[in-house]
Amino acid sequence: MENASFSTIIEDLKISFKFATKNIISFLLGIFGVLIVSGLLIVVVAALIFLPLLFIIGIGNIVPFFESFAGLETVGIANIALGAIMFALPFLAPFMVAIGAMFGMGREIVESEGTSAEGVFTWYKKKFFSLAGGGMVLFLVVVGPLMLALLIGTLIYGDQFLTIAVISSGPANFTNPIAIGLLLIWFAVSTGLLSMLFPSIIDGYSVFESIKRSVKMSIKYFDRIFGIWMAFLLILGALILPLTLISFVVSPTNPVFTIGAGILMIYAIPATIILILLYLPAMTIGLTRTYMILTANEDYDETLEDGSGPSFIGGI
Amino acid sequence: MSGSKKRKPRVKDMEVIEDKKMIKLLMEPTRAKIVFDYLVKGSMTVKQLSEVTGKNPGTILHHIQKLKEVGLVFEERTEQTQTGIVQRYYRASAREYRMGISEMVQATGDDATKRLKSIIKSLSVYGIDVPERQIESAVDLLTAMINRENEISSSNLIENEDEYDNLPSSDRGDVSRIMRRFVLEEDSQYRELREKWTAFLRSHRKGV
Repeated sequence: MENASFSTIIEDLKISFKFATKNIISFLLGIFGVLIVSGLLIVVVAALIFLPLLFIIGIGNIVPFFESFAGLETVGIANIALGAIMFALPFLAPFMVAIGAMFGMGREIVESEGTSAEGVFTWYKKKFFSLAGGGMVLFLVVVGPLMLALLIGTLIYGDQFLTIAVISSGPANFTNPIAIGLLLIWFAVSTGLLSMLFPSIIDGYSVFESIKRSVKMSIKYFDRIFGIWMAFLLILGALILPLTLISFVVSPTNPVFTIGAGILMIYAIPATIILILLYLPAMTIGLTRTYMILTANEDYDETLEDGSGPSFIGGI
Repeated sequence: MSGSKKRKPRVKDMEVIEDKKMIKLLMEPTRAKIVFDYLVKGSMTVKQLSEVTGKNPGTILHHIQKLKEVGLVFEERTEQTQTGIVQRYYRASAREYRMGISEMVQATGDDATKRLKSIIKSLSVYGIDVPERQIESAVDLLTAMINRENEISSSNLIENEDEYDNLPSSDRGDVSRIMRRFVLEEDSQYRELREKWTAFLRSHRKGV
């Protein structure tokens, strides 16, 4: 049950997609509702950040204030990127909670075969801070080391390091394959290590405890956890890879390429629907199911009570 | 986590709930039903609890998590079904619970006091009429007696717990009641309180 074989992973995927399909309406309504709530929360976050700013600098000075950022290139691109990430975190939190709340729906399905759209709001509300905290940690773990590498690189080599590391000397918009390869490996490993984070938070553990549990579990049950996680990443890759080709095939002169781009754009519609309504729910179900199997108390003996007969001795 | 040798939590014979947080938690009717009506009798899954209570599985899961946090419920075992769902069986930490009266009064304020007064007044259906001015003292006496009873009954009397767990459930209930009654009778403080209470009831019985 705990070790992965190819058939176990295929079985896990089949069950995950089967339950996701069965509960597609609940997920559709849940995602729709939770996105509205997240959008509203982002407006509130923006108001909390920008309204005090307006009071401090005054409405008249708002344009010069933002214009003053124009000279920021002197502080270094990596520093700006780091600042942007710190600034983005509060805006990102509501969406992280939304994804986390979907793991709550996944838990309901794995434990009882069914869920309801309103269930997602209960998880959203009851686990808001833990899920937001977990989401931020996940984001910082995945993006943090990359930013650190960029910071160190720019400190040593200057801003041209960013150009060398990410953009090759070839045609514009064509990224360095080594850097991208390393980036993908880091993404797969870091998210894999934290793949049990949300299921653990949903199980009632704190963010810190959930990080520890997730990392420990993904090392102890490496094949099972990374097996299912890689399978989901491969499906994700297969779904979005054709979309990334759109920018390469668009050509104003070659009609064959233009037709190809058109087909890919048509493909984008079902791909996005599958991604949101089927892939994402299946992933939450698959990871939650794996978490529950691996944390099962199998050493416990079954203690079914025998049928209770009539008592001879009355209560005291 | 699977693989690590966890000891199965022992289901206590009787537990007196004195923690205010636990008492408040059990004031919620669905949670009280889950614990007192179902999980004291045996282990059940979220799905089964959802079916018997008529609540949706998500609601049951949230209640179970809250009960788990305070230690009233634990995960007994996990099973995979044919359909692929992973069911967890939850169980109450004891086979019988009693609420600590003083703690309940502190946790719920007027509610517990009102209930105790209502109990005293309800004795009239048995022909015991307690005048309004004596209800307070009757509540105090009853509270003291229940407190002492809880104190004694919550002590673990079982010498061989493994053997006790293997008894048929009806025998287990009967021997438990015999022994709890026995230790109560042996306690002089309880006997004194019970005599006072009996005398109080006798003095208010109609026609006496």
